[in-house]
This record gives sequence, structure tokens and C-alpha cells, in this order.
Amino acid sequence: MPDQHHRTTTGSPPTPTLEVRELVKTFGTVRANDGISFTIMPGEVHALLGENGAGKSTLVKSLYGVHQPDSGQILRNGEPVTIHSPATARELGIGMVFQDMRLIPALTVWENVALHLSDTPFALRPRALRARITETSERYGLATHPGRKVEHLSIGEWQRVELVKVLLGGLDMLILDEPTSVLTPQEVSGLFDMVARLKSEGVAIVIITHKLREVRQIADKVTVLRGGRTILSDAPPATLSDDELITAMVGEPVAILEKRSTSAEHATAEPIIGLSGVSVRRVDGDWGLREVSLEVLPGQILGVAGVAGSGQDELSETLLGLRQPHSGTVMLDGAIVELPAVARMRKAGVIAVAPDPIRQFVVPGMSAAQHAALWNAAGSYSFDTRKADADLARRDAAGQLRVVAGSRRMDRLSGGNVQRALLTLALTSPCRVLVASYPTRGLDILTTERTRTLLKELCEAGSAVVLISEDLDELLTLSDRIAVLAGGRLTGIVPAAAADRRSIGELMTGKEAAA
Amino acid sequence: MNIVGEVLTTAIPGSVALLYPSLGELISERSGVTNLGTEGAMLAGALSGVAVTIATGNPWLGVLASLVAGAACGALHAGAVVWRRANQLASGLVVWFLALGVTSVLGSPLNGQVIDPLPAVRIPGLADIPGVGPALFDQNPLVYLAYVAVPALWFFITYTRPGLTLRATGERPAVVFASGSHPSVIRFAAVTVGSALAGLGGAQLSIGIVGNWSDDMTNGYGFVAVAVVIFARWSPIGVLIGSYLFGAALAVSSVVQANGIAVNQYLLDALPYAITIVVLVIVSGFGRSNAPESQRDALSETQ
Ligand SMILES: Nc1ncnc2c1ncn2[C@@H]1O[C@H](COP(=O)(O)OP(=O)(O)OP(=O)(O)O)[C@@H](O)[C@H]1O
Ligand SMILES: [Mg+2]
Repeated sequence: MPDQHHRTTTGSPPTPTLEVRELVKTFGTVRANDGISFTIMPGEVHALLGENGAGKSTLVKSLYGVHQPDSGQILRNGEPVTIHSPATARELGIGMVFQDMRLIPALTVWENVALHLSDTPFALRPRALRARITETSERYGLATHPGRKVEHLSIGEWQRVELVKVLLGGLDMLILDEPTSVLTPQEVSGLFDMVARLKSEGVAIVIITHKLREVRQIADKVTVLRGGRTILSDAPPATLSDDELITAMVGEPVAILEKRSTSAEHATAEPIIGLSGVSVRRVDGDWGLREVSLEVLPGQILGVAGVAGSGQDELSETLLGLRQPHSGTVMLDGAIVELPAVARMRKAGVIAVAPDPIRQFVVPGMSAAQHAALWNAAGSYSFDTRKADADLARRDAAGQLRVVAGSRRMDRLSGGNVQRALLTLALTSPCRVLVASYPTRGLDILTTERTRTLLKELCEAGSAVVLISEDLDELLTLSDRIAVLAGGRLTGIVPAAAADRRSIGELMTGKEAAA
Repeated sequence: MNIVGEVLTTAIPGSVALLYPSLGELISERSGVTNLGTEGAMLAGALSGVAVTIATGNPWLGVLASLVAGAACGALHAGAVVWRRANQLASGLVVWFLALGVTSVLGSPLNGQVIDPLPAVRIPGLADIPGVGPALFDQNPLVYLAYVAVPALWFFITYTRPGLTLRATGERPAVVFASGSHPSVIRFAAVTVGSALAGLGGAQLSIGIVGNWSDDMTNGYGFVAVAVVIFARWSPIGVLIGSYLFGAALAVSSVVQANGIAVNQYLLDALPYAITIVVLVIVSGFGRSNAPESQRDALSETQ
């Protein structure tokens, strides 16, 4: 439970919960943080904005003792402090939820919490701890199952467990590194309720996000980083327009993509992939997809909406030929295919943007160029890193997603930079069907717009795009048709021109379309 | 005594000699370090146990010495792997070879010297159970300690804070670090303690069972221990089953030998190993694996 370390003295202004002065952190030649200053007051929600690689995660990791800054000062309640390690940070009442979440999948929820808490007794007392977890969960509206194994949790619950774990440690300052990028709209509002609750208890909250809508919704102050420097410090967002904020982040104004004018002219084209009555079982025995029938048409973007875990992953895996359906048929160019048939689908030009790139794309220890070589080598015997490096540069020129140098190690990149590398490879590869899962997750504003433009161009060039996303605005802007999944069932396929947030939202809750 | 009792009487002490190194290996691997030096630690334990017993006349000081010798081998391996980031497989094999060479040089004067093995302590009441009683409850104290060791270890890794930290270290050291513990320290401790148990296994062979020292007397028990842990899927109960199975197979083949039944000698010697592996491979197909994440990729280097 958060204990209040701060004092609210009447008269004199309250002491800042945390003050950062001229913080510098370098990694070899990369100046990730280059003189950062900002101040957080008690009971304040402070948003940190900036492009991918701007140094946001590096900054908050320094505040949590993961990194040691090269120079600069950190003042905690007015006192200069040195934060040697995460343990020190926790003693100081600072809690953090990392961008790449830190739970051990093989352990249960309560075991993960026990590992984190410093007051865990020698002989674990599961019953008592589970009760404490449940109590805190209920207090902050964070539904969790203390006895479940973490590997079986949805990404949303995984994050709630992280929050409960951090809250149980006791804190008066909470750092959230891109908490919303993996959440559904419903989960985001749950998270924000919790933030409001903590705020009313006097806890200071630092939140990193790429979404201006969210900044407007909860932030009291905003600080913008670009290239490791503070461009704006402690500014109240109400005094700034969207354009001003974007210009501060990117350095120039960014044109937001207009809604695609969709037409039904392709509707007569032969589908590339057709599913009819396909049901897929998940590993845990539940139904992933139930009786789903849909067609993937060339020159069209098929949006897929649904709350997390409604069958999106099973759908993309079926389209990619990775899954063996329990029943139903899958047609490729008019012929029935027996799945699994990964090689055959790939040969037919079906490629993917993986839903979880850190786990499904990144090979630890390998460079960006080696990843490109792996991508190019799929289906052939050649593996040429030098050629792949040149190829990556060429693709980057075409894709304009500003991918990092080929020599950089993938597992050391910021979350957004990993996504950019994957998108550069996927969106510039010749293909007939692109199955893109959450392509703009974790991307900054400029890259998000570039990615959407590339998807649009791909479709205009005649490819079929299946766009799985939790961002309804993105789906409405880009799609020709939107398929809505709820609990593995297809509750409707609606033309995007005739849809809006409300009607899609209704289908997402499981109400079938009237037609 | 009946035939079951006869087999059990030989089976139990042999099983215990495998159980200790297996439990040690389990602790080590749960922290994320494979220790192929287990065989070496057993040899070191076996020799120092005999040497100290001869020097002092007290077999319990011998047992103590075997623990220390095993721990030293473990510290060597852990030092190389944890602090110097050496390859786990290479370092383990080097420790084994080193121990093999050193024990055969230092042990040569002791070859053929006989000591009194650890005395059996008869547990009144239980030892009178007809059939199995004497086999289970008229043994040396190391055997009784082994009975307690398995549930104790199971409780330790499942229900204590250090046990939880140990498991977490084998899964994701970075998370353990973020929670305020030091994965390197935990690994060092786990490998050293695990190896001390291997030394104890060596003592059970040399001072517990035969009462003398001979070159390379551990006969690959240390390597079987590594296999037992893997096929037992890193669970203490599985290790228990694997070890007693091996002991039973060993006992059956020696009873066969003792009764003069004509079977190829080498085949007979190989039999316990073969039976243990085959059964464990079959059994390991069922249930869930506890394989630590750092061990999942075919025993490669960690970090
Ligand atoms: N451990 C590390 N070793 C080397 N370079 C690093 C390391 N961590 C971060 N960097 C580099 O520092 C810079 C800032 O990275 P950081 O993760 O702070 O970005 P970010 O603002 O959080 O971006 P994103 O929005 O993509 O998460 C990047 O160029 C990144 O590649
Ligand atoms: Mg980041």
C-alpha cells in the first residue's frame, strides 16, 4: 500500500517528489540521455513524451537504479540521492513497471510477487500473500488470479500483476513505461482509474506514452525528449496544441493520414485465402476460433477488431499456415490446403508482422543486419550478412521508417526500434498477403503515420492486407472491411465506410450483427 | 532373509550414493548452471573421506572432509562459469578430468588400505518389520539422512524464499537482480552446495559401502546423476525415483552375478545404466517439465 512520504505543508510550496538535474547517460558512443531536467510534484501525473529512441526508457531506468547516470543529480523530496540499484529505489518508495514486463512466466502470480517483496518471510506463506494480493487487486480495481501461472495470463492481466506487485511494495512515486501500448481501450480506462486513485492518495506518477489522446486525458504536466535532450520541461498540456506537442517531439509538424476512400470494386476479385467454418483449439483446450468464415481479397485491407485474446493470434496463425484447425476448411487460391503448411503459404506470398516481436522476431545476440539476412534467407540456403546489410539500407530508403544501423544488436534496441526493423523488412518485401498484427504498437507518431502510409501503398499495389489492431481509429482509417471477433466467434464483417467506434464496440462485446 | 529383502539391502546404499549427487545437480541446475564436474566432486569426496578416516580413525571426520572436497570442486566450476563466464560444459569436464588425475595420484598410496565403513544404526521397531525392515532401517546414518533430504529439498525449493529465488535465478536472472538479489552469488552458492552433496555421495561409496579407496571408483555415477536430473525433469520426487531405480537395477545385477548365473559380465555391468535411462526416458514423457528457462536450450551457456 502506498505510504505517504511527502508532507503537504501549508504556506510554502510543497517539496517535489523528485527532481532531475542535467542527467547524462551514455552507452558507448550513444548519448541516450544528454542533459535532462524535470520535476515531479506529489499527486501529479507527469507524461514523458518523445520519439522511439529519444531516451525515455533510459531516463526512467536511471531513476529506478537499473542504470547509473554518468553525471547529473537526482533529488528525492529535496535531498540529493544516489540510486545504486532497483532495491535502493524501492527503499526510497519508487516503483516501476517496465516496458518489457518483468515477470517469470514459469512461476505463479503469488510467487512472482513474493520474489519482489522485501518483507517476504523465510518460509513462504502463500495463503496470507494471496489474500494480500486479492485485497490490493480489489482496492485498485486490478482483477488478478493469484494462483495462476503467469505464462497463462493475457497481456493485460500480466500488466495488472506487475502493478499489484509494485503497489504491494509500498511507494509514493510510480513509473509506468508505455503501459498502454499493449492494452485494449477498456483496459486503458481501467488503468487510468487506478492512476486517478493513486493520485488522490498523493502518489506521483510518471507515465510514458506515444498517444496524445492519453496525455490530454490524464497528464497534469508533460516533458518532451528528443535525441536525449529535454525540449519541453514540466509544461501543462492544456496550454499546448497537438501540433505544438508533435513539433516538440519530432522537430517538424506531421501530417495525419486521411481516412482511405474505400470502394467495393475489388469485391468481385477472387479471394487469395478463404476460411470457411474454421475452428481452432488453443493449447489450454479452449476454443481459439469458432466457426469463422472470411475471405482475404487482393487490393483490400481487412481490419480485425476485438478485445485482446478474442482469437486474433489464432486467426493470424491460421492464415500463416502455422495451425492445424480442428474443423473447417482453408482455401488458398481456390484450392483446399491441409494445414499446417507454413512453407506452402510462404511460397504463395503470405508474410507476417508478428504480434510479439521481442519474443517472436528478436534473436538475442544477433545484429539488425543478421536479422535481415535471416529474413532474406527464409526458404533458401544463402545467408549473407553483408548483402543483407546493404539490403536493409535499401529497404530503409524505400520504407522511411528510420531503422537503426545494421551493426546494432537487436536485443539492445528500444522497444520501438525493434518494431521499426521488423516493419521495414515486412512492409518492403514483395508479398501477396500481409498479416500485420498490431503493426503500430509502441511506435512514435511520425513512424506510426509512415507505417500506415506503407500499408495503404501495399494495398494499392494489389496486395491483400489483414490488419489486426486494437486501435479502432487505425482500423476505421485504413480498412475496407472490418471483421470483429468476440470470444473466438466472428460477430460481424462490416464495411469500414459504414462503421464507427460505437458500432464496432458493440460487436466487440459479442452482439452479433443484425444482417 | 527373503530375496526382496536381499536385493533391497544392496539396493538402498547404492541408491543413496546416486541420490546425493543427483540432488546436488538438481540444486545447481535449478539455479541455471549445469555441473558436469559432479563426477569429479564425487571422486574428490570419496578419496578425502577415506584419507581423513585413515588419518584420524574417525569416519565422521571423513564425511566432513568429503563435503569440503566436493564443495571445493564446485567452487572451482562456479568460479569459472559464474565469475569468468566460462562455458559450462567445458568447465565441468575440466573439473572432472582434474579430479580424476589428482585423486589417482594422491590416492595411489591408499589403494588397498581397508577401513571400517560407517557403522549401521539399527532403528528399533522399524527394523523388525518382516521382509523390508532390515533393508530400510538397519543402515548407516547417511542413508537415513537421504530419506529426509528429498522432502526437505522439495520443501525448500517450493515453500521458502531462498528456494524461490533459486528457481527464479534459473529462469530469469535479470528479474532476480531487479528484485534486489544477486544472481551470481546465488549461482555460486547453489553450485558449491550441490557439489558438496556430490562429495557426500562419494563418501557414501567409499566410507559408507566398500570401506576403501580405488582409482576412478565412482564408475560414472556423477554423469548418471546429470542424466537422472534431466529425465526427472528437475523435480526432487523424480530424482528420488530415478536414484532408487538405479540402485535396484544395480542390486539385481549383482545378485545375478553372485548366484553365478552365466551372463556376459560387461552386459551385466551396463544393465543398471541402460535400465535407468530407458525407464526415465519413458516416464519423462508424462507430466509437466520444471526445466528452468536457462536449461531449456540444450544445456548451453547462460547469460
Ligand atoms: N543497454 C543499452 N546498450 C546500448 N544502447 C542502449 C541501451 N539501452 C538503450 N540504448 C540506446 O539508447 C537510446 C535510447 O533508448 P531508449 O530505450 O531510452 O528509448 P525510448 O525513448 O524508450 O524509445 P521507445 O519509445 O522506442 O521505447 C537508443 O538509441 C537505444 O538504442
Ligand atoms: Mg522505451
